[in-house]
Amino acid sequence: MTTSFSALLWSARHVRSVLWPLVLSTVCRIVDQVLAIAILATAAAGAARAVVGGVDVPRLVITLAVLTLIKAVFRYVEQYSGHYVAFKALEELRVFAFSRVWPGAPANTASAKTGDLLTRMTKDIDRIEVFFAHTIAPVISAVVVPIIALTWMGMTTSPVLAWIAAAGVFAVAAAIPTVGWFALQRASQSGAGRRGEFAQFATESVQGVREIVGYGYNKPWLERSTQLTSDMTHDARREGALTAARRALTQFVTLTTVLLVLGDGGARLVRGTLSLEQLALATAVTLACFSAVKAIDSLLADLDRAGSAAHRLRLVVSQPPAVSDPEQPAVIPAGPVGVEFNGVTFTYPGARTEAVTHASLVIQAGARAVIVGRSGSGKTTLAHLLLRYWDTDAGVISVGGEPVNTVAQDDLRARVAMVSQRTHLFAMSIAENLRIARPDASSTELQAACEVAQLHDDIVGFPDGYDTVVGEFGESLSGGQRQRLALARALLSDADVFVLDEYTSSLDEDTAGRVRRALRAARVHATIVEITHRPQDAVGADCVFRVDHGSVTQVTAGEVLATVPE
Amino acid sequence: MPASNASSPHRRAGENTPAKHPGQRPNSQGHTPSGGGHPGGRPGGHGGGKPPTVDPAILYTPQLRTTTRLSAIILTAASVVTALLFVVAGAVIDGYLVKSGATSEIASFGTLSDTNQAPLASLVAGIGPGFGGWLAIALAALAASLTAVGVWVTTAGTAREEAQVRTRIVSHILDVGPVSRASDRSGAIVASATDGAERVAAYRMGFVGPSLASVVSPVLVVVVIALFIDWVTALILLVLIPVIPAAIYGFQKAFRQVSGRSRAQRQALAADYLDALQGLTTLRLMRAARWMQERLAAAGERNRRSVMRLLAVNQVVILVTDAVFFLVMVSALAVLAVVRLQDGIITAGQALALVLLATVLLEPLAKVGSFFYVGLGGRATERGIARFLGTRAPVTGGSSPSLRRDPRSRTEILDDGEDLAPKSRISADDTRPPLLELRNVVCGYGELRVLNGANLTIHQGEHVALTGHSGSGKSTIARIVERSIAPEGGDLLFAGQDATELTLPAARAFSAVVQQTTYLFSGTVRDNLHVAAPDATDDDMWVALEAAHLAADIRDMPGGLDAAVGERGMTLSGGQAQRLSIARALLTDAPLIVLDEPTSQVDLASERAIIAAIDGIVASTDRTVLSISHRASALRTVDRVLNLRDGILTEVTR
Repeated sequence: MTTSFSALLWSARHVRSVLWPLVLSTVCRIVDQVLAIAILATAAAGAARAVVGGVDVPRLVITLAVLTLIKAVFRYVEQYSGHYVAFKALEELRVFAFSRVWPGAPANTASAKTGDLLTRMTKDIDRIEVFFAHTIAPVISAVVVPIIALTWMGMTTSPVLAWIAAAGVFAVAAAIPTVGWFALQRASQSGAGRRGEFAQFATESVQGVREIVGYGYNKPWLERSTQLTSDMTHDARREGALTAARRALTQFVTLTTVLLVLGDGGARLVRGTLSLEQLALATAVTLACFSAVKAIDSLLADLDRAGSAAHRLRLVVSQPPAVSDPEQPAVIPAGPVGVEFNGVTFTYPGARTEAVTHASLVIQAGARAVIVGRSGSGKTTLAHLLLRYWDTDAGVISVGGEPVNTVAQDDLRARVAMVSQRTHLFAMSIAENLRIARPDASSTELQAACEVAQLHDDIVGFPDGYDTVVGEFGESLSGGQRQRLALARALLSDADVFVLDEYTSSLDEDTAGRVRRALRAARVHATIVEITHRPQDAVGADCVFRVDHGSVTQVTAGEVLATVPE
Repeated sequence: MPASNASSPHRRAGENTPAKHPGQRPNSQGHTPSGGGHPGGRPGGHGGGKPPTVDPAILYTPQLRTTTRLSAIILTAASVVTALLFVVAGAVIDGYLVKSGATSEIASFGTLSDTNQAPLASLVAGIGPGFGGWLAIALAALAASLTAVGVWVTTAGTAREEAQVRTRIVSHILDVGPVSRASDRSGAIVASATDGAERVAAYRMGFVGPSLASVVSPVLVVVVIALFIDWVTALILLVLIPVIPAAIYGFQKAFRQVSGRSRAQRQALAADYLDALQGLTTLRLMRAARWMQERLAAAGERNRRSVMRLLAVNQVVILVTDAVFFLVMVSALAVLAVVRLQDGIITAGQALALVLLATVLLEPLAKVGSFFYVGLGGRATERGIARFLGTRAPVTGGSSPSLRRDPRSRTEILDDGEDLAPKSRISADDTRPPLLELRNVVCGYGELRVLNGANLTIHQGEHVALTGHSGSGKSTIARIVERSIAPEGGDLLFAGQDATELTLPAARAFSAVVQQTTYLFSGTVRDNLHVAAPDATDDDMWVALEAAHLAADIRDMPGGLDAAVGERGMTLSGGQAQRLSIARALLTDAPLIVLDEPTSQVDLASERAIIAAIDGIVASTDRTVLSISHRASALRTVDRVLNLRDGILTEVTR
């Protein structure tokens, strides 16, 4: 409870701009509800007054009409400002959460399940939004409105009647919501966990559908779906039973309280200490008061859900990034730069064995270096460490003489471009995907980069050319086209070092050769680091390194080619 | 490109008209939908145009109607009982008034006059405060119990419908099978199965049922007034009652536009956030994370502003209904109570009961307001899900559950069991039909024609390599063979039988495809292998892993077969993921194994080892292998090499 509460306070700090609209919405809601009570009281008292004498009917109608119109205006303002709070809070929380998640990348993407991350980023934010937009104001008005209304009623009728009504209101607002509180909290927690699990399952169903239907795994897959959904149904039914019990208690207490006020008021009427008009007023105010607190138990459930959502969101976004920028970053010297690894050792978080063991290598500025090794040997890890996905456990990696951990990450990645095996293509047009590397690139520049990557001819063959939208994960491009698009993207940056991780693995030998020659011609002084499993790629390299089980040794191209098994 | 390019210059005149594909719609040949404007869109003639609108009823269980009605009836009953309680309360007030020491004139207002014509008014009129009080408390208990049952029916029904919608969506994903997700992005589909399911279930059960109750219960409350208080008042109220459903209808109509737009924008935004999260690494490397953040923020802000502008106008509906309701209902009841009381028709208690009944009559208004959010998403989300459920699969299966003949049985049994080299198994007088045959296959994506009458014949036990330039359409052949796309023309034969005669599961069981980029499910190595063979034992798995040269790696992992592979195989290297995929294919008993560039991520040593292992499998079992590769160098141990160029296949002489 305290963690939820502090998490909500924490989230409130990130949506400060909704504070005043929220205050406005709350005040309008209070006025609206007090007026609703006043309208019913006026009507009831008006009817009772008919007993003692003539009632001015037009005056009664005008009074009611004025009160109603004022109430409608306040309700409009309450609703509009409430929606303003809702959409604004949603927007701010999303942007905030995204802005806090990306600095942890790439390291955090390797551990967190993105489907689950999505549930957290959108679903949990939705829940917190509900708290700001639809929970705070009703909870405050549920406390304030009965106090105003019952104080007034106590003053105009009898304090005892007001205390009776207050006891009932208190039971509904504060006592009944505690019924099954812990059970409900458990159910909602397990529900949230299961929803996350199902979101992950749904993501895999879509993305892995080719494998599922290809292997005829439909039936077991659907069985898993049924299992997951029936678990969720079970939770929901348990929650439903508790909600039903609370709603019934609320209604019973409401009606009984009205009857008690009526009974006590009736006795006073018989004794002659209370007029019929006062009795009517007391009964009407008591009944109307409950509508302000009626929804309180669902509001408290929302509060609880919002609390656990805020708690989860806080956990995700407050994870410190694996690497951070130095306070006074050094600057890599301009012009061609070399790359040096000196005694680098690295173990992935949670792994048992070292991925890179005491690796040292020197690549001169402007050289073409080739790093060869089996899959899983650690060669991609070398590239990741160079780009500072993680910090090394021991040893120093430097670019242009500057250790990478003394340079700002963005500066490092501006100078060292990486074409990775798993380059992500966004669900946008080809041109937009290219412009991720440089948003202000002209179409001539895009074309030039694509010509170097031997992709331009393919793109103009597409019906929409550069405006062709590539699907999720760039599914609609062939593997080779995807790799070349990734290369073109890297070419749009001003990098002096190109790390090319298996960048021609899906290309035929002709195309791969053309790409390689065009790249060198386009970037004469760039340092090119090719990571490959193909020994023949070592031909013509200035230096060749072999990686095996995380250890690096310098070899000659001849030595590598000699080991090609026939 | 003109639609007539089915007859491309690369095809001889006699082959111009490809044989009509039995499983296809007649107009699908050479017909390209104008909408399929990019490579990787659905193959021509399929999925073009809008899918038909679907009845939303298909989302839900057949019990939905019954449950909705039941909850409406129970909630209505609760309202009626509450109304009766107020009638009794009125009688109790009258009792007090009569007993009070007030003037006899005032006390007479507590006595029912003869002019009152309400049929059942006399039934409660004489009730004393004592008995009346207990009766009222009993009614309160009854109303509360009815509410409890109503809430339980509604929440249980919501849970049931939610589960149903989720199950429908997942099973539809599998029914449609692999399609390009360029238009229906997976983020949006996932949102439908999660948020969407919750929203529509809450809408159907929590909105439709109570809406129904809010239309019916005021009418019944008016009936209670007619029976117990005054039928004239009831008649006047009855005229005013239609205002309630009319206002609700106006509400729904006014918000449909907003809800549709805001839903589409919200869902697109959710998909964009997923895309951005999955591409975080790339964004970081491109120094574009902040740019993406600003882009998403700008899109969100645009979305928010347009919704707020629409709301500013639409919320006037709230203002109007609120004013109309309070004014009409409360004023009408107050005036009627005063007038009828002054006329001596009703008692003071009845007059007060009328005013208090305003709260029961006004309850629908309060509900309409709080249902705003449920209604906002409900209908629009429902349409979106129905549209997704209405999408058709790009391929349709036939009715045969299995091949007519076992592709691996021979007309003659080779008696020399020891000599199992691939070549020796294809005897010249083997009269069996080829295991796989493609005849004049034409296929493309949108306007892009990839295959122009491709012919391919593979015999049982062969290892055939398919080469060609990057982007020449090699993977399209794999997709045709695995029946995830249907060619626009030509025939696909499995062991001499038209593949379209087979049911999709049967056709897909014919081949095991190792994809260019493998999808690994989160879970363990064992979970991933179970996808291919749910009944495989540990021993079977180790044999397959051994053959895929992955056994040693898995043994080194903590947990062995139970080692977690992580999302999209992130904890495995590209080569390991690929070898796991090969092991998966080897675990099936598919007669044909298609390797679609499986070694593009694997180093040469393990590539050769894998190919050697596959050759071993070809030799020792009945497997036939089709290797797709742009690199001829890796393919020295195959029986034949075919080259795909300009949409046609030619044999490479070596």
